Amino acid sequence: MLGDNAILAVNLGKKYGNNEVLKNISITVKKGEVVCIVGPSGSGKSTFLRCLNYLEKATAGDIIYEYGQIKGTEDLKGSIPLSNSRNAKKIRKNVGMVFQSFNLWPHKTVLENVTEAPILIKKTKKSDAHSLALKLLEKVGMSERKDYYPSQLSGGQQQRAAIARALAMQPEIMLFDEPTSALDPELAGEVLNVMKELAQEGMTMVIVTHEMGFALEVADRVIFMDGGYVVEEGKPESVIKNPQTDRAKLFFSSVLK
Amino acid sequence: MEGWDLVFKYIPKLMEGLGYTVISSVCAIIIGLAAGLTLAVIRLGKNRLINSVISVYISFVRGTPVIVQIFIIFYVLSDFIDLPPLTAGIIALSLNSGGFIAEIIRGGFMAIPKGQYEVCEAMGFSYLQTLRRVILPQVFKITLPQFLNEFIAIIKVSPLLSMIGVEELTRVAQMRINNLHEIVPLPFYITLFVIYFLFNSLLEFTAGKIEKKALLKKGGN
Amino acid sequence: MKGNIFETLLPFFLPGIKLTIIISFSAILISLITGLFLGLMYVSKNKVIHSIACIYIKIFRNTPFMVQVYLIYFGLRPVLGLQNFSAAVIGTAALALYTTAYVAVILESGLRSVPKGQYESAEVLNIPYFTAFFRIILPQVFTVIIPSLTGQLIMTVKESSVLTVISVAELTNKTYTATNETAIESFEIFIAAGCVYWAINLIIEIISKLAEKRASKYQLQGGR
Repeated sequence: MLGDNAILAVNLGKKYGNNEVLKNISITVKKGEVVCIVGPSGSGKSTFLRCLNYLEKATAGDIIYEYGQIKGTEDLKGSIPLSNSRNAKKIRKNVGMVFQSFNLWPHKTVLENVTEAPILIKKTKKSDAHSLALKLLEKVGMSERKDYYPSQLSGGQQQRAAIARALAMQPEIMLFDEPTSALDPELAGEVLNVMKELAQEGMTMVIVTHEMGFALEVADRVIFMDGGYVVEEGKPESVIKNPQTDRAKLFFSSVLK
Repeated sequence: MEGWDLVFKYIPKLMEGLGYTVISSVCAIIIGLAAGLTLAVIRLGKNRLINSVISVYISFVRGTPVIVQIFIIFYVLSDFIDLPPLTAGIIALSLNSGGFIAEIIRGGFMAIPKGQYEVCEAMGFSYLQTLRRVILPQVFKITLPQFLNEFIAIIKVSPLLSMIGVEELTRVAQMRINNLHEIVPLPFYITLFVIYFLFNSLLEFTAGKIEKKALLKKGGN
Repeated sequence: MKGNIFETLLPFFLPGIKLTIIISFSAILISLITGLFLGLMYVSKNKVIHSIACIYIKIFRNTPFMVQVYLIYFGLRPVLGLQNFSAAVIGTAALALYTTAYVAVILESGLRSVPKGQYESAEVLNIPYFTAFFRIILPQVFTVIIPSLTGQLIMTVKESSVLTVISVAELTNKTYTATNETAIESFEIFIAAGCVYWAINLIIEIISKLAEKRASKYQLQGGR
């Protein structure tokens, strides 16, 4: 069913009471593919991403990974979706997530932030976790700041540390939820460079972003969402530079100004 | 349980005690408000000596138990003048709440932006006019919830006045219990507890209403 | 003459200070644990559990501590058959019950101050809820509430003086004894006792300021 796909989202729906924020969304992400999801705020793109690792519970449809499957909660017809949370655990083991607000743990140093989960969850030996963490911090350019607390760092540095923290679980897929939206433009660049490097190494990535330049340069595919629907998807060049629908035209003409 | 009928017979007497509790607390909050406001306004001035004396006073009041303060005042006053316990008690509670209220009001003053003073100065208000017409009404609004809390706090420490013989609610109940060695005192204590609980809850409820009304009248923040 | 006063009062004050400190710290330590439970109940989404916590907090915050002590010691102790426990033990328990209500409210506001993202970042790394709660959320809560917890400790030290009404030999009780057994003016003795309480509380405040400073290296606002 999956073939060389990493993620399969089928007819995904999400309702908050009567408010339908995701409508029948079907998206596939191939292994090694970099997919950028763009769209106006309130389009449902962040909700969709959060559904992918069960931070939000989709109300309809399926999300399929090779590690397990998550079903829309309404499809389960009231039975407690135990299988969902069990599968979410397996999925999260292989899917890293980076947040808009970094969410580093403020009472732990950068290094401790990165080693915490491997030691706690993967039962990695402390020394191994350390050397892995140092390697990852080197990679994101943060090794010199390993003993700093988050509050002593700029937003860009915090986000790079947060990426290292996610990578420490050695995921095969990475989800990014507007990773640079809380950053000044000059700090966004350093985070985007780290993400570009990851993409070049062949990491499967789903990125919700407003950075059209990044999407054009790095993404294999761009998905434009609006009003809870996928409105357009395709090669970055064609979606961003030459959108077909009126809504996409309006959106891109305003953000590319 | 035995004893409840005795309690019910005794309720009017307890209410009389509650009367003294309320009288001493109301007097204390009014005098305390005047004292606290005076201290806070003096502290706005720049005289360092006076300010540090006031700071020490406030720190002492906030850093020592009310019982100890009550005894200090009681013994000081009874050594020099012969005052009834009720008066000594009211003075002690007033001095106590004065210290707390001075801090509350200081917080209120600090919350007023400097621009409010500057506007008045630019418009030719005198300092006192500025305080009375512009600053204090705002301070009052900001600090109202804390005042109401302070009043409830005084009610809650008022039983300590029984230690110096003020016949407020707790003392009245105590005296009755001491006169009735044979009965189980539990019903009396439960009644005492419930009276305070209901009275304070009523105050809390009223305070909430007053706050809401004051906020509505003077607009949002 | 001055030295004389202190020499006379020291034998009364020292054991009193010791008991005041023991009682206050035991009460606050107990109430940190019970207050955490009550605080968790208070933030619970389950209406019944929330209401139970609510009622407890209201009852203990809306009644005078002295009356609580009377009710527990003179009212409930004989009825519940607790005569074997000393006044000091019952008094400490009463102080802990009372402090619990305040600590619960402090912890509740601390818990609410931790952003949702802190839970989520642990969740996506598969860190189990309880592990995350104790290793990631709670340490942050404690940093935020150090000042209010200090205020509470000071309040507990002050309230412990009320236990004199059940003849617990803490500082206020010893002070009262001293007024009967020494020739020094009563008001002087109480002023001296006041200064001792004041000093204890100032020391607590200084220690807390140091703790706050140490904790400030990971202030929350920067770490989100």
